[in-house]
Amino acid sequence: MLVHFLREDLGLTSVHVGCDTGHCGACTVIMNGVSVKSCQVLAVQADGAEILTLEGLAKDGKLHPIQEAFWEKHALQCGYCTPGFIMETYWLLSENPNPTEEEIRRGLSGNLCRCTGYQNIIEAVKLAVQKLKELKTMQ
Amino acid sequence: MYPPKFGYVRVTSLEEAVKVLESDENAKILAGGQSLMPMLKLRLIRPSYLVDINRVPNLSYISIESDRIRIGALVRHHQVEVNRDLWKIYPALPETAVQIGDPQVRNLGTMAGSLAHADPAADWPATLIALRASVKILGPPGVREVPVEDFITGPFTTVLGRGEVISEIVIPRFSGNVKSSYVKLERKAGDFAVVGVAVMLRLSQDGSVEDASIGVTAAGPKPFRPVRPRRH
Ligand SMILES: Cc1cc2nc3c(=O)[nH]c(=O)nc-3n(C[C@H](O)[C@H](O)[C@H](O)COP(=O)(O)OP(=O)(O)OC[C@H]3O[C@@H](n4cnc5c(N)ncnc54)[C@H](O)[C@@H]3O)c2cc1C
Ligand code: FES
Ligand code: FES
Repeated sequence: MLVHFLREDLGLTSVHVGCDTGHCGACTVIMNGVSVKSCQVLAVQADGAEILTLEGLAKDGKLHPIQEAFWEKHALQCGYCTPGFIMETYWLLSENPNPTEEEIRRGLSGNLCRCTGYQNIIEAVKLAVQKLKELKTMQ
Repeated sequence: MYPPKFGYVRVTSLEEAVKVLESDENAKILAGGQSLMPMLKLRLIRPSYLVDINRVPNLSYISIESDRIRIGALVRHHQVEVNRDLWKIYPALPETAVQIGDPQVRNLGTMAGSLAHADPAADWPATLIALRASVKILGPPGVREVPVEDFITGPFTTVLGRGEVISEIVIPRFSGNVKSSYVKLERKAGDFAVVGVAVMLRLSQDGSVEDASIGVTAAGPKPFRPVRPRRH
């Protein structure tokens, strides 16, 4: 599967295996611009595709605004689910840069977290929306 | 969990897929993989080859014509969810799409794959039956078209014969005042339906119902059209 190829052959270990049955979203990556669960995709299917994992978000040693927001809002405890949540948030905000709380909740319904509780994650996504907006007006 | 060993063929046309499927009855089409991968990992199926149609060009169309809507075999649930024209013409279609699984599943899963998989609790069949849609099938002898309610014959069983693939789904359009909706009862967001009901109504000018069409899923071994809905 793509998740095994990313972890074991390419060493991209931010891509986690939580359930392996397509339910938890810990293995979420961006493939050709859309979020997918990499435990449900064959590595050979991704031949020639552009894949973005958490490793590709930080630029020049600086965290991506979504990563900063998760950190500042304490949106993680053990962190196992976090890369998946951040990648799904990345896709959600690329589709809809101004989501309502309901849209955030729906948008993250494919990702499970067993310890933080979802409230701080939702707060982090809201903060990320602000940060990305500020970044845009600055540019 | 690892799937069993199988071969992999990437085809560039549906005709090529038909040829592979005709020559090997244990080969299976791979579309979104959102039903196939779980089945493979649980070893519920052991195909000889997966025939990947994801790189076949021009299969991702939602073509809106005056008398019908044609949906290509690679149209993902998400494409239906965000199509503004469909929200206007047949809201039941995007309403169904948004209630399937979760965003990642909807980014890959296809309407055609859902029909071919024929899970008795799948959402699309209810809506497509209510909208009187049919399935266009490409096979060794050529093309045939089957209404969705006849296409699914039982749990995980369809009329698809050896070498046959779904090429598109055809949804007729009706003139006048047409309303449609899909309602799903689920335990929590993203689950399969406990029951799902879709309705299409055609209203006459005075607002009375001229024609009603209903599709039901997850309430039996296969989705169905209630034959004699009672009048109230
Ligand atoms: C976590 C999760 C939650 C889900 N929740 C729901 C839900 O709430 N409601 C719901 O309805 N579904 C749900 N699904 C299933 C999902 O909708 C699938 O996308 C769909 O059932 C199959 O579409 P696919 O494109 O992924 O097909 P695949 O998995 O690629 O294929 C499924 C079957 O169809 C065959 N096939 C595919 N395309 C064709 C074709 N063109 N011609 C002939 N045969 C073909 C394949 O050979 C295979 O047998 C869920 C799936 C997951 C993983
Ligand atoms: S590991 Fe892929 S969805 Fe859980
Ligand atoms: S932070 Fe532990 S599972 Fe989400």
